[in-house]
Amino acid sequence: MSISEFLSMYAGPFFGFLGAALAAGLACVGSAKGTGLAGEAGAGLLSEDPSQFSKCMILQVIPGTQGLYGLVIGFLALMKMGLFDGTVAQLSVANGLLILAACLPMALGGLLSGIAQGRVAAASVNIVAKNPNDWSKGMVLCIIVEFYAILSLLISFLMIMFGF
Amino acid sequence: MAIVKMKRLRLMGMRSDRESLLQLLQKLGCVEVDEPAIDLSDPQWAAVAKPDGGGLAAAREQSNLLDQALNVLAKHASFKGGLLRPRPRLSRRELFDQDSYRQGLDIAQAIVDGERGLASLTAEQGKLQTQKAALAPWLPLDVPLELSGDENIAVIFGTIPARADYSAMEAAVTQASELTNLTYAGADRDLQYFLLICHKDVEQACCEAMREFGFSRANVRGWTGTAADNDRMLDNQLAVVADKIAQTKEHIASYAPHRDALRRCLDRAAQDIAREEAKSRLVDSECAFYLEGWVPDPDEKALGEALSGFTCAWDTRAPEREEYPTVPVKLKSNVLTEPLTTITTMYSLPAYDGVDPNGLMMPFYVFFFGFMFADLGYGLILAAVTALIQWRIRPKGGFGQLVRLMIMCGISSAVIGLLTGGFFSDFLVQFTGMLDLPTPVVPFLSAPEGSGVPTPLLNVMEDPMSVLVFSLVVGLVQIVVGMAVKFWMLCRDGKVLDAVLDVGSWWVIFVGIALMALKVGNVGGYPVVLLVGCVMLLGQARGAKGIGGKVAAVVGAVYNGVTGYFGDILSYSRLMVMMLAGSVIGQVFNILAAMPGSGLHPALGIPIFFIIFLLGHSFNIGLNVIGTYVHTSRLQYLEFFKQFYQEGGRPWRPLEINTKYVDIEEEK
Repeated sequence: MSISEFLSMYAGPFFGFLGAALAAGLACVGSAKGTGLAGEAGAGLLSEDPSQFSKCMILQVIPGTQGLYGLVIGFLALMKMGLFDGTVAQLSVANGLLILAACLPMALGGLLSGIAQGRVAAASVNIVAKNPNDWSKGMVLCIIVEFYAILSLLISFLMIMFGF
Repeated sequence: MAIVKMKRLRLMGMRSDRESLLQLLQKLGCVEVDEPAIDLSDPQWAAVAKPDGGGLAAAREQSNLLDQALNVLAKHASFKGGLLRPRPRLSRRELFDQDSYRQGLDIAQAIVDGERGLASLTAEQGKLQTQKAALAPWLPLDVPLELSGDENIAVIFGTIPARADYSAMEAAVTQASELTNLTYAGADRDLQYFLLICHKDVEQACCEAMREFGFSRANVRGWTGTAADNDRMLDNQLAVVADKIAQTKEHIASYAPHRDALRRCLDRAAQDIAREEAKSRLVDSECAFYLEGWVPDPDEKALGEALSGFTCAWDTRAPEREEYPTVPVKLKSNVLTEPLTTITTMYSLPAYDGVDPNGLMMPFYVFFFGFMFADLGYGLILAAVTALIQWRIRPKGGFGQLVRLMIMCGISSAVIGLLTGGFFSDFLVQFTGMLDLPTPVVPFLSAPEGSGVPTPLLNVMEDPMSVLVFSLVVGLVQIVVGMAVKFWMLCRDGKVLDAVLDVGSWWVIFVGIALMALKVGNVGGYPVVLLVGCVMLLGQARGAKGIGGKVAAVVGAVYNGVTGYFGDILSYSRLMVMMLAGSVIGQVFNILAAMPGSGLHPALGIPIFFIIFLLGHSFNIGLNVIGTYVHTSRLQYLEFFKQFYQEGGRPWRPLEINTKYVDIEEEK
């Protein structure tokens, strides 16, 4: 088998899978780092004041959404590639590359916004510590970062669904 | 829907009436008492003084006692009753009833005393346990601890470190003298314990020998009888203390039925504090007092009627323009606009001469929320949950406003969700698809081709572009409304020229752009309206000095206008983004739920479907409610308020009855 035959047989699905893997994987890494940061800060506060558990937990969960968005995009990419109806082997190299490109915004946006949001959430734990009644303001600050993860989700979604 | 006009109140009354007058004002709840502008250090005012703060200190002390008692009670007693327990209602007279207040304070004192007793019992318990631990190594020794030597015999209770070699020491002691008896008692983590009995003459030599092994004398003074006897005695004492602790805890817990009464008293104490704080802002002479404050214009008549029963003199006047920054702001709202107060106060109240934004914001807020959250199922759930909270616990303050706002937003989401074809995203299609049933025919929600039922008015999944354009148009409408308010405010202040040039020019430009796009109204190939608008922009130069200044002013206005207005309008694209994100995530959960079930028997597939469906959609609802709330508020704050809002008002805080745990019934 020549190299070009090999590529035409396997490269399409490979690039598609690579895209789905990056979208889900990197976004999950972002969420893991984000929730980790917020969780550390939250645990610090809870050692002093365990009654703030629910507020700390909500703050910790907020950076967890990027992983979900990544999963959604990865899932849609697999669906578009035909993994679930068994036509994935026929994916052309060009379409595989399109899927890869379409997944990139979610991969990068999810990774970096998850970390950034985790830092805001960790800082917002300070609000819970000092002014528990104003903690919703910390949540609002976190959601501002969320918007950029949603935009990444949106553009990846549009490219996957309407790309080819 | 407006900012209530305030009047400055000055009131002089008799000191003998002071308490009853303050109680009356608290009942009316229409006067904010503040400090009169009197310099008390001025010798002219030597005859007047502040009332003494004894009452305030006493009220705070009572409030602390009640609060402490409630905390203790919460620690020792368990309470049934969920989050949705309604607050009890009682009359004003019951709240201020002196006898039940006394009783409540006595109960609180008893609870706090109980907690104090518990603390000393716990300390006692700790002391006994320490003693028991100190005796533990001596337990195997069957010798009374008070044993002491006589002129011939020396008795030494001793220790050596745990790592020292006891048998080597034993050998060394025996070597020092035959007239010795060494008994090993026990060991703990740090030390080994033993008893040495020897002849007085060889005591020195034995001690010398043992010192090499790190010997030191142990302190067993104060004990009589063997260690085991003492241990048994301590056990008995510990049992008694433990029994007392249990009894005290039970005693404290037995006050649990009084929790509501204590809370009522705490509410009552809070009213006393509020009244005493108001009192501390008065000034007294020997037999009169003087009060200054703010009263809303509409309440002035009721105040006058209430004051007619007292020997007092009072007047009111409208504030001067220079005083506006200090005038408190009260918003006059109706049922529909009141919930928006939480959104307004989170930003900042309007200035006294500003505009109440609640009414202007209400239709946009509810529509935007509904548009982003758009889903029939989600909307109904949100409306039902918040309506239940409102009905059961009648929440007050900012949270109550938020709950009532969410009822409206939930209904709006349900309606818009129906029109845009969302019911738990595409639940109907996925669910029937899993069961291999034909796609159901439901107007808007599921309209297969050729079925003849109306299709969704906007379908964000299939035609995001139209939704985007629609979002931007809605945004333009809100911005134009905001500009119209600015226009009106400038005209109200007599600045008609500013209104026409600063706001009107942009309107002309917007219309001009629209006409140019539609290719209407061109004269000689030029878009006349647009050009007129651009010429009007030159009016921005009117305030600047010199040619350079005028050019800079115009360029600055054009730059700010273009980036500002167009950036603002583009920001409304988030309406489409949030709508789409919610639908996409919901759809993915539906697909995930249907996937395992499609090959299985429906009896197995349907439960699996609903487990995943429930988890996924609860998550999506939670996430979307928060996200939508934040983004809807943001559009008001940054895009809408920017056009006209003057913030910085100080909230009006009247002396009133403000309870946390009970509701006050209006007296007939």
